[in-house]
Amino acid sequence: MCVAASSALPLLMAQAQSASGGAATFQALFIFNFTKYITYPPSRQNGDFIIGILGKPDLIPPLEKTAAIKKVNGVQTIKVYNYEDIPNPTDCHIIFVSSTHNKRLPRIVEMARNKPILVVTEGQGMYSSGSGISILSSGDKKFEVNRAYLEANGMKVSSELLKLAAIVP
Amino acid sequence: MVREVVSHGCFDLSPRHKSRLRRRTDYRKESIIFIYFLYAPMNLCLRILKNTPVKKSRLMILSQALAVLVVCTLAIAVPSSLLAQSKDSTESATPPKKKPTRAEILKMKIEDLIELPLEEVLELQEIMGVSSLEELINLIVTTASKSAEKLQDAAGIVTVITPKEIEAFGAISLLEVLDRVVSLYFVGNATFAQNMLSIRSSAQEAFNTQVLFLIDGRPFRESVHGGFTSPIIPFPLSTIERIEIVRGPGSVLYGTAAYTGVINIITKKTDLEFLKVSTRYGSFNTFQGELGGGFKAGDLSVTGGVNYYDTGGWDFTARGEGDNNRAAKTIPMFSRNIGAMLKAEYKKFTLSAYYGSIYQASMNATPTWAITTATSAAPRPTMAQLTNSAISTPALTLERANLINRLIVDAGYMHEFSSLWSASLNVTYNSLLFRFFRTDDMYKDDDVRRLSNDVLVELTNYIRPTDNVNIIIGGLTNTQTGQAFQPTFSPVAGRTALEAVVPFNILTGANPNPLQTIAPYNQTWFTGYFQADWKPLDWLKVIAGGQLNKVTDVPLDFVPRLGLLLNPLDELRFKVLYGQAFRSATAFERQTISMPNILGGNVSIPGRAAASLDPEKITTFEVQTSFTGAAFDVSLTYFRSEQANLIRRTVAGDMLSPRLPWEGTLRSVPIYVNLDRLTSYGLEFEGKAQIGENFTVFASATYQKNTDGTNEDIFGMPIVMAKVGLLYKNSFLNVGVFNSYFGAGGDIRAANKLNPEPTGYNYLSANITLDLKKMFGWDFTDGLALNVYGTNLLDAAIYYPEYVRRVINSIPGRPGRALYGGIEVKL
Repeated sequence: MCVAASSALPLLMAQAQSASGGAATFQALFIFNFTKYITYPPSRQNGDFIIGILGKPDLIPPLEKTAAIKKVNGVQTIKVYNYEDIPNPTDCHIIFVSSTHNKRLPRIVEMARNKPILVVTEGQGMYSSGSGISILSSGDKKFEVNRAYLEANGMKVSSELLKLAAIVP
Repeated sequence: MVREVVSHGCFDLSPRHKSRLRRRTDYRKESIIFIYFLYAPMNLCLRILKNTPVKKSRLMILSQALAVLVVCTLAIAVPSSLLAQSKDSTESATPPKKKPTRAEILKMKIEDLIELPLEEVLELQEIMGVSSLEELINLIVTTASKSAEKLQDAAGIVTVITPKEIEAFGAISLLEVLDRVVSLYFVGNATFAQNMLSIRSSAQEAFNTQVLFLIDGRPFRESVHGGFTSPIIPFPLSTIERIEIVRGPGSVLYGTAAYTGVINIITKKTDLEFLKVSTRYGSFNTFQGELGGGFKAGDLSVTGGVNYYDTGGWDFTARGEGDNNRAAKTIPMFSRNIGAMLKAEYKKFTLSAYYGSIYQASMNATPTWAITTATSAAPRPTMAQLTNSAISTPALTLERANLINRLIVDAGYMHEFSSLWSASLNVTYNSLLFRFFRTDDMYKDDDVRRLSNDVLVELTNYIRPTDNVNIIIGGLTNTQTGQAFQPTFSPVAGRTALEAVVPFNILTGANPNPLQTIAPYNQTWFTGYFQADWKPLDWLKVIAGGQLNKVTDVPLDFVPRLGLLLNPLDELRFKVLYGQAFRSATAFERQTISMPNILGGNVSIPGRAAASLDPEKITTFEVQTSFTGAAFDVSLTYFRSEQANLIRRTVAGDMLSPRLPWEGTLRSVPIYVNLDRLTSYGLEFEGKAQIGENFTVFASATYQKNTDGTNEDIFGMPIVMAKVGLLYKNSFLNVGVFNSYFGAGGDIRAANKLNPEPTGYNYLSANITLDLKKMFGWDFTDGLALNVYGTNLLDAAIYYPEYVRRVINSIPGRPGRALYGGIEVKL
């Protein structure tokens, strides 16, 4: 009876309104906004703007909705993929790595080394693992931006983004 | 009324003037309310400080306390927000842009949101509270699988406490933080205050042997008793990143004593420098100071913190065993507590250490007084009288205290062989020093002294062959050394301690040849474990694991774990878990000869062969269902546990107690034996909800039944626990009110009801923090906050059942109402 009761409650509540995708929506918004504040080298300002998502499929639907409406700098069509489905990851402009997949980060960072690929992660201190921007879940600042790393890889960061971020290291 | 005055005036006012006048009139009204509101709490505080008897019902006191909290909140929030509004309106006639509500944001389409600049997106995120509730729902945890996974995907029933919750509801120690978690129940006995933590089990022992504490995943465990965990209580809270509480068996990954639960304290990783200093002073002459901080230099990051608090002591009034015809005696239940943590990380290396120390007053090892009172109540001695022979009076003093020091040091290295395989190597050192002694400094040696030094070496492999398979394989050795002494006795040459000992007068000096109650031991336990999870479908996760363990004098043993996680909808999840855990007998339980109180289970007694103690084993079946809505998260869990081979201490006079040669038929000495089974089952509810922009509600409830087949609910646990917290938070003010109700357990069938009967009680706490800069805009107060914190605001009389010996019915458990004021600075 207890098991039945424990099952019944959420089933009833499932009828209620839900917006558990809220956090994912905001992360997707952040990723889209990064496209406004990061300037890629001219060679990467043509063709599709490719975003790879690793470990957080919730981000794909809101990013796809965004891609249907917006282009990067008004010219580049945004294509959003599950990272595993991208034949050549070096084509990516942004690779998002979920915190549950941090173990794969070193290999991705190695692949992105010296290339204008923005690696976005979650959590504090990820710059030490090679992240370009890390989305924070607490504290006054919502991002860590590894400015030196981005610039070394040929990307320029807008001062507007830097104002909102913790600049590391 | 305001509108009337304006409209009947001799000249027409511009809308701007009307607005100003209206605001001024409102402000006068609010000022009157403000003064009244200030009076109400001050009046109550004064009554408390003067110790004026409050002859009101508990309901009245509750309502008064709540009223005080509400008026405090309003008294600060209303005038200040009016001030802020007034300031804004005088600066600009343009009405401020109305911020959207959470519900309005939820209705926004992505098409609208992507048009917003990043700053506005951040503002909306703040309003959404993504950083509170949804952040919690999306929390990453590591305890259930030794790997990062979402809380909802964890292979266990997990609750997470965030630093925000700790700060919001306030706490002097970790105990108050854990007290608010579903199904957690702290008790203490005559010797060790609050040393016993029980989750879904019984509360019959002095030592916390069933819930394993981890610090950053490393076991905080000693080998003498396996449960001297109270030194974790002063852990510096400012260094905590989060606390993960796994209810249910955890032995597959964590070995012995991860029996009914695992509590993992995860400390902050320093990437952004921080510094927090706080201090408090309040009831019972209690002082607390805490310093926490971190810095980073290149690849080196260091986090550390120290928490110190001492209390002059609340009135501990009790009658002990044998006091049937004597009045109760009162001592100050003083304590001095230190918790210090340091963690350094350099690339893939980690070095961390925690030192915890508790010095506290106590009754005797049995609940008796060393010096009993006359037939009338004796005056309460001061702490100084208890500890300084020069000013002590023998009739008042000569009571006991104990000192428990614990140290854990861990060195770890993580190596990544490939993107599929990484491994960690940890060497963890745990030590214990326990001293039990007379508080009076005339005594030159301890009554009891126990110590252990243990080294655990563990290698763990993390293998991820594909994205939907995660495998953990590991092994460890746990080398334990230790011994124990009772300097009030000396052995007799040529005789065993069981046959003959002689008393030693520790007034004359330290005992050079103390009785060794636990002979030096040096033993190594071996463990191998694995756990794998596989996610064949997006909505399905399968978990399987097991541990092989080899403990001294006990055959090789295995405990399994199986789990099924179903996620039919994004919002709806089910967990079905089955698992076993074990607790191996400790050195004390196996071999102590603690004269004349107790004998270990392996001690050879004439006429009785030494018997090995099998490990306690628990088999648990759990079903959890949880649902996440737009602004709430709820879960309901059913659990059923079967415990076998319980390692129990018999009671004096029990036929299971051995008959010692010199006793005749008395059988006065208890012994540890494998005895009994225990079935526990119950329901747990947990919920969090965000109400509007400023309020968050936390609620939980537990209903639990225990039976050994013959008796029901005589095992020390409350049948019902209900915990509810309400948090109000705006930009400068935090008010957290939390009430925990611990229901009464069944009758423990004590021989003598000398003290008040334990009953259910409400433990109400409140925490108010005011950020001065954010409230007043004073730059010089940047990072400075004022804090008022209160515990047991209903002044409940709290008695714990005396479950260890069951000779007397109860002992005082916790202090009465306490209030503290303090300052904190964050940099």
